[in-house]
Amino acid sequence: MIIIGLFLVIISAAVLIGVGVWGMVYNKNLVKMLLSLEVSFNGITLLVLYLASTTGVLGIVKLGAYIVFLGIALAIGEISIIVSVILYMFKEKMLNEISQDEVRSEE
Amino acid sequence: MSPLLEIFASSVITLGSPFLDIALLVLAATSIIFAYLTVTYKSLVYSSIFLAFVGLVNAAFFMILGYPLLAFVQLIIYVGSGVLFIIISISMLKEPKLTFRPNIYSWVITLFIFVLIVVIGISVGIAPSELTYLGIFSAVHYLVEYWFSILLLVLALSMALIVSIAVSRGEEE
Repeated sequence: MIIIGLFLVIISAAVLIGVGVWGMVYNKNLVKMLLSLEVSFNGITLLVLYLASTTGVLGIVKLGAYIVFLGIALAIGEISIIVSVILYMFKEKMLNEISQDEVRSEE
Repeated sequence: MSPLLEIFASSVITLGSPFLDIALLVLAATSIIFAYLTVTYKSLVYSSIFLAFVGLVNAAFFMILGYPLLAFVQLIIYVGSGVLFIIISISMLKEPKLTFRPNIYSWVITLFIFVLIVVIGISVGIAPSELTYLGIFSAVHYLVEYWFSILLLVLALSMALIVSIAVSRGEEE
């Protein structure tokens, strides 16, 4: 019996990124697209930390932690700005539903 | 043994303890299930909550990989403020219709990205040399030493989440 240990981390990161891109491409809902982007972001942070913790491309172990720390901080800013814009558009009745189709029909 | 099997065999690393292997397996399965639910669930509020669970599982992964500080950052900043902000904001809006229509192209793109990342991960980052599994011991240490603070933090965050959703729903109605 083969017990796969850290291989599961790569599998998990790959599935997270794939599912996130899947949802991002084929969801027409703005909030759903944002949530899919966040799922992808979680997978990417996991992959970066995995590559950093092994002797891979990110040979320095601390470098991966710095990259992920910066990424989390930027993700918070991105979330706050995008959600605020969506809320503003919703309150100003630019969107009846939070959907990409509505944005396109405004143009 | 064929070269492909050799690559696969060299990529198989166990943590030396069946408990940790099972924990990794459960974490990976949980992460994948919650990610799928986040993308496909009808309600936006519940979808955001599933995203919070993805973040929690990721924090556990960080612990096992040896980054306890990043795990706390993920828990407190990402899940505690970022995802909570999404949940509270979305719960103030009316529920939109579901417009999710997967087709064959979505499956092809997902499969391509999955294979690409797995191949890159195996060929580049699989060499196990500097990786020490001290993260899980740090996690146990923090849990034992600061269990009351962590319990209070979890209760406070849960209460804030529930009350915020209840208040915003009540105002909407």
